[in-house]
Amino acid sequence: MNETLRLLLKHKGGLIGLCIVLGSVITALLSNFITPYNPYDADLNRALQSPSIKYPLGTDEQGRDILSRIIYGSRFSLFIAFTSVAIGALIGIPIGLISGYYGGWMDYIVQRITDILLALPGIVLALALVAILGPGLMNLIIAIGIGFIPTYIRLTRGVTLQVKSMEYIVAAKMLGLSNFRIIFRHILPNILPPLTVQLTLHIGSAILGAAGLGFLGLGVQPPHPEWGAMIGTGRSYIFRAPHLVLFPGLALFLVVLGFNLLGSALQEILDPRLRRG
Amino acid sequence: MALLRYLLKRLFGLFLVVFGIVTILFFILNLTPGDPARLLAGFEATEEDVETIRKALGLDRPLHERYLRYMLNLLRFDLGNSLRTGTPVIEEVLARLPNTILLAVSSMSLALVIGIPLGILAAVKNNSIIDYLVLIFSIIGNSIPIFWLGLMFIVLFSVKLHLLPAGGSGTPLHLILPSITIAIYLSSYIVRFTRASILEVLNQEFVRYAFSKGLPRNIVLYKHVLRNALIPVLTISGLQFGALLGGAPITETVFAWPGIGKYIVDSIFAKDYPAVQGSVFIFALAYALVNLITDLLYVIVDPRVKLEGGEESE
Repeated sequence: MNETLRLLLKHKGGLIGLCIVLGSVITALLSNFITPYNPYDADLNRALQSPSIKYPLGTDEQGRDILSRIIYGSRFSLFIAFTSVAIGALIGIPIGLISGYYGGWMDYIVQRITDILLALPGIVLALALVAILGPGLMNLIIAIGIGFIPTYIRLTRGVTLQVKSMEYIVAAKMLGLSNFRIIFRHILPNILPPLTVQLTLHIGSAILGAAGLGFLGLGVQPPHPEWGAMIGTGRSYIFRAPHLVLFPGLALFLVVLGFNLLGSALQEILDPRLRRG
Repeated sequence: MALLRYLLKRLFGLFLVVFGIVTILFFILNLTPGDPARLLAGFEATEEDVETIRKALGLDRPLHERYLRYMLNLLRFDLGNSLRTGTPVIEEVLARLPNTILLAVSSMSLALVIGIPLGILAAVKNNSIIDYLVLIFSIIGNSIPIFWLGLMFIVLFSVKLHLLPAGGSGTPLHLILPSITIAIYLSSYIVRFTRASILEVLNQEFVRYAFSKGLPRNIVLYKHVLRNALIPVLTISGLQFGALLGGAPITETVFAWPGIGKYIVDSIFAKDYPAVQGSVFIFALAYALVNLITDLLYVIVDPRVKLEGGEESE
């Protein structure tokens, strides 16, 4: 792991990504203390102001400070992304491990169900689920999280199948180690490198997915300052005050960029075939 | 013969997948609390009105009976009627399908035209400044929220420069902004995939051998590398194209593009469940069909692919 970190710090993209990711996490954790104004504090007398010294990123249609809302909004994006990816991974990985390790009819059934889930791309699946569950923070997390499950099942199962037939696993079986022990002590560690890459990249797509649903009005609901929802509301004022849409979008872009840079740097480092000279 | 058996096997798999989606959707929609009849009748309706609507929709029948009837209707492509307009959902969806296909084809063509040459360039000039620029383009394209990018294009090209319409459809001009928006996102995948695929082929024995025989670089690149490297690119593009047929719901909403994606979103807001269910069904069907066609093309283009498994769609 130290070796990975050392290579990561030497990797330009990886270092930038790591800084953005750490920066956004710290911002989200400290958001209660560092917003210049209350992000919910409306005052129509100062609505739709352009950026100024007093309000660096301007004010929105209700006169709320956009900078404060963006800082506070980082909590929503990161919380939704981390929890939904965690749901996908915590359900998908064990299923993939068991399905790949034991094989047989159980594996067959699991794979057919995975086919079904994969037959709808993430956003349509999430839309269908939100249509059923209704909008809101928890439903959004569930809708996005379920979309990740099949990917983790496939990925984990694939690696498990590769590792399963290797000599040391066969040896472990001959030594009489329990299946449980073989799965978690000997197979799982092999899956961690590709999983780390996938987890990092998925955080980025979860943030974008949540923002997309927020933009449509099916995610986090106003008055909460989720970035996608801010863009969705700001859209009505795009002719008069494009800064309502510009800044939350830049924030989204920057944070997702951070996770994607970190993810692809990890991919290069952990997969020696991709390493650059 | 092998091809025919493979085709039948895949068609059966496709049938199972679509059947599964429809079944799951049906039960989730029907088992979640909320009474569509009450919703449709409105809050001021009397209990009798609600009961009449329930009977008319067949909602008073037991669940298994409704499921059976729903499935039998599906076989005849009868997706039920829209709660909003009363017209058959299949008509509403088919009316919007050409728009969605048009947008998908134009943005996919654009993405391939941008993505493949850039990917080839990056791979051939591996580790050069061009390679890094292409990589940066790919990561940016992958990180940008496309609905936001679309809105920014509207601000720039419609509001400030008055060059292009901000939304709607009807003329080729309406197609430009949504196509570019989707193509930027799509090509970020295609670039990366093309680059990786070409680098892999370049490292293979037969290519090294061709070089060492003293064949000119360009001939090796065109005759040996490209032909082999572009096959996986074809697969990934096919998958993405299938996803696009889902109507990139968000992009269609941004540009008020009257396709299936926008229809799903509008139906969700109207709580028009037959419409949501029907369009998701059509979508799953289209996606599965495109995947099948992609796989078949793959088999035809690359004779090395064996046909026995039929399950290696990892």
